[in-house]
Amino acid sequence: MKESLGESSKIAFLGWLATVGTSACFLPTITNQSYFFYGASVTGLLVLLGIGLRLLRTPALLVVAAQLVTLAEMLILGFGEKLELGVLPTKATVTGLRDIVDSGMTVASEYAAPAPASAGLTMLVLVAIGVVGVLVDFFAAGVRRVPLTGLPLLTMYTVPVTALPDGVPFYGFLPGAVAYVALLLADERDRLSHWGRLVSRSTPGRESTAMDTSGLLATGRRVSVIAISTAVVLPIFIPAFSSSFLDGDRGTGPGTGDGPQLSFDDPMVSLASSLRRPEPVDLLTVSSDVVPDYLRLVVLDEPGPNAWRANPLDLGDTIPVSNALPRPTGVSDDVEPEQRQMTIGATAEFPQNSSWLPVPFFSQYVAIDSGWGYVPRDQTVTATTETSAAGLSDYKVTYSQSMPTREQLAAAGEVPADVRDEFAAVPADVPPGIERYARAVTSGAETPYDAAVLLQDFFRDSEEFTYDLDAAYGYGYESMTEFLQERRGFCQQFAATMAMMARTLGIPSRIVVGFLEPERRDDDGAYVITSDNVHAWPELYFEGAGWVRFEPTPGVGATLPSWAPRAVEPTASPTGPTPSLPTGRDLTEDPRTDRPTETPGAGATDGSGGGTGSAPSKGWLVLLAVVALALAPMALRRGIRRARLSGPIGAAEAAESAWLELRDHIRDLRLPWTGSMTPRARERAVTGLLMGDGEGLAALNRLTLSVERSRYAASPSTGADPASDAVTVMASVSQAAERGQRVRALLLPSSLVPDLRRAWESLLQSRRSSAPTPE
Amino acid sequence: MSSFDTLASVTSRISINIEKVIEGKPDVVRTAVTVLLAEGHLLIEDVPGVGKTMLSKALARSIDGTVKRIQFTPDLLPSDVTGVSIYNRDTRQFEFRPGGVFANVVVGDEINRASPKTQSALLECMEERQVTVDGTTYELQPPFMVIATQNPIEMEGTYPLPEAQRDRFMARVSMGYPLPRAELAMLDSHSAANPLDDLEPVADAAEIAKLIDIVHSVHVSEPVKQYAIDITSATRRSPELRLGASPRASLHLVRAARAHAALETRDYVIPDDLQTLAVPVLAHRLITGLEAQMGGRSAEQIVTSLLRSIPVPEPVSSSDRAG
Repeated sequence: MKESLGESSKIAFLGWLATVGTSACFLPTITNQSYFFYGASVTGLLVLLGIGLRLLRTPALLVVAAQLVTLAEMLILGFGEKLELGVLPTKATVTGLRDIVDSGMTVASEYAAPAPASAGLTMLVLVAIGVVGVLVDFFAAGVRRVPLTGLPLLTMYTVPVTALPDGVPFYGFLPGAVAYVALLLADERDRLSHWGRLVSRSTPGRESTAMDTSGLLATGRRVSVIAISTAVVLPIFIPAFSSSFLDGDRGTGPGTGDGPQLSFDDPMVSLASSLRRPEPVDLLTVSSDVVPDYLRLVVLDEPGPNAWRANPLDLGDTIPVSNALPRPTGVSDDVEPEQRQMTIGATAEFPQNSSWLPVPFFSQYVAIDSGWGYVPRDQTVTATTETSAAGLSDYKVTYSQSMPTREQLAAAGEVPADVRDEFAAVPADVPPGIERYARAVTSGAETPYDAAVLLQDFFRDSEEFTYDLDAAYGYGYESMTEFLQERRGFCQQFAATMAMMARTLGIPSRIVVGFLEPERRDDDGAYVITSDNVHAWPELYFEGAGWVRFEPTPGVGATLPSWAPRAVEPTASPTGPTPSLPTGRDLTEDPRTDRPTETPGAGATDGSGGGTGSAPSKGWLVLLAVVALALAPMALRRGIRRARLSGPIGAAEAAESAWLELRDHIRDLRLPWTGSMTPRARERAVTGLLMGDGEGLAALNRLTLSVERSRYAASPSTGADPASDAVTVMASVSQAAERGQRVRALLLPSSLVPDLRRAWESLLQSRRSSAPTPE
Repeated sequence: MSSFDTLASVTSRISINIEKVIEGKPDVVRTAVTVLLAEGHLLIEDVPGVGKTMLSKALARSIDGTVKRIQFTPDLLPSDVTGVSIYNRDTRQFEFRPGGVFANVVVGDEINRASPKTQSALLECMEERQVTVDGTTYELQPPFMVIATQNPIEMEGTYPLPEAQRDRFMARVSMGYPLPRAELAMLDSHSAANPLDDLEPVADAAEIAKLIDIVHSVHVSEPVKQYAIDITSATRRSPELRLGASPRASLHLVRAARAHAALETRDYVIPDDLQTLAVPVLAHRLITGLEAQMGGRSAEQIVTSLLRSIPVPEPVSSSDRAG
């Protein structure tokens, strides 16, 4: 293991390039791409540290340990708080970091790519890049098993590959692949030039000081250019499985593909994806004698840095919907509920796995088969069995449309402490700017109700805020400041920000995901709720009136609630994929349209080409990753063999490569190839492995002669073909080996496995004897 | 390549010729021919009666050149070896009468019996390939080869060659006892008449000089040279040896390896050549340390074990990748 530190540093530097290049694969998955530069600098520092430590002849494993500790310290310095002496982590730091990681996990699992930037996600990505950087450095420069660096790089690469439904674009793949190939080339070239058989192309006959590897290098470049360009271009022409191939039966998730199968598993994500559909689909038909109210699906009441989340649901707290449903929280007993009815039917497009049933606020009875329970806390209806929504039939809801009055809201009493604690809590790390903003907007408000109206007006002022479905940031409180500056977004940002601002003013709030007032279909007069009607809005709590809906989102044509009107109505609704206002509020009879036939399961096949927006189920992914990992050594080994046997053009290089390949093949079979031997001595040793196969023996003899001539003769050419000789000998050796040995050699080629112990020992040895050792 | 074929045919003729009289010792014969082609001198060291003189005579006889035999005795004078100027009364001039060393092949029998003064006269001729008597220098005609025999057992009245002198010999071989079958065959062939009498020369001096030129064309690559130096320098570092191999030993090793490669019709030297020749070329130059003597380890054994520890030149650096 005696090699110059310059070479090892060069390899380390190329390893760093490979890590940074491969980290480009995250570019399409995160909106904020500053991570790339942080990752490059963090790994750069780690590699420099590695080079320095190796200069001091530190054992490779110690170098890795030092690098990992440094990585941890850099992350602590970058993300941790409450440090002791400015550097040492405390218990609070660890807790803080854990929270950051949790939030990063949440973002990673909740968002379709590209995920909004958040500290948590950035940190997770940095940890990944850092660890991969350390491993690459270890394999490349520490133990000089350069091909193995492909494994950590590949692992890193699989993350965005699984996250992106359409795969990683070429610019996420190319830099890493090119850098990896450069690393392999440099290493192989380096190894060949270690030994100085010196044939220079430019001055034949004269011996120079370095081995001429330009032929090898040129071939290597050619092969790699072809391989990489094939990898980039070929997939265009090859039909591939859509990712739905990997979906589990209920496998649905975030996605913004062309025809996503809608799901309400994660309401906000499906909200965005449903609004972004190029063509809306009908989800529900509603028969009602009046214009139906907003239908509610689910309540989100826990604000987080990146997203609002639903309160964990205890099915034990639900009330069977067949019972008379209790009055919503906070609605005073003075309010006499009306008894209106609507019949709701789900179309085939309605998610078959929805855990939530769309119902209006203040429902009193829901006539539906069992399997649904009423959540009194949220006034929503949830599935109590797994298959409730499958084969959902029409259901009739009796509800009250009674609306609070402005006077009633203005005179609302003190909010009960339990409601305040639960729904007006503001997390400690909410940016203080939000409260300042809220106070500025609502200055002059005398009551919470006034403040709420002012907030709604603030957002509805469409001169200021623009409805924009492509707003890239999330709706957690980390991105609210950005939203308030950019003033672009869609209902989820409007609803979340208004709810959060209300909370900073002490008004209990929550977000509801559901459906806007529906359109009336022209031909038969039924109200139809389409995927464009999916909506989110804030609900604010006023004692006596209970949870009151506000409508801060401009541009969707949603009318302002009667209890929270605005001084000046916007004159025209901006364009957007929005439903137009129902034109008539006529009280025509329910036309009772034909309801769409329900075919359970049809949705799965009908979703215009399969849910490209859905993430593959985890089990499949794990299985795939395991299979890929298990096959990786074989693939790597094959690649090396191909490069060795078809790459070099010079006779000397070809013979050396074929010899190396024969050596690795024999080692793969766990047969002996040890010690230092001359080609002839090696030939005698290998002859014993051939079991008297005449053809193999002849090929071995030719190959030995080729190698011998390439190493020691004045002119290496013998007219033999070392590659084909090597193939013959290897086939002969394989034939003589046992079947188990062959299988093991194929799947677990031991020539790839770094002999860590030996590397360790030789490192120790080189440390012990600082004096130059025998060559 | 054809020149190498010529070389092979001539040398095999010589070998076959020698093996007519020296049964069952092809290795020794091969080394002798190698030394001949490498322009070296050969020291044959063994107990009496195993055919030392027979070998040297057979080799000399096989070459149709001048062959002289000098029987070294304690009273042999340097001038007997080099020659002497005597006054010719007829021409009234001093006339040089060449000594025993003026020949293509000189057989120095029992060289350790001569006085150091005579020994060194011979050894100077060996090294310089010329003789200077009374201020006149006489060139020795190539090929010139000294085959000296030495008896290691007999101590009385002998002057063993000092280390520095042994260094002049390219290789030392020991005959060893013949295998029983070979000895039986020898009894048959030698009992009737002296087989040396039937030996016909199979090559002449000019032919041998040509072969030597061919040997010069054998390529020695950089790594092989390095390997030779690795081997000789390992003997200098070995704790078991009191005296290691000299730079001249490196030179002799490479020259012998060239000849060895040529004998195998190869136009380049491989490490195997060096491995084969390391013991005959190096062992006689080394002086074992006290520990090795106590442990009964000979210089030959030490060289063999050193060879095993020196990695052969290969295009890869780290030991575990060595193939």
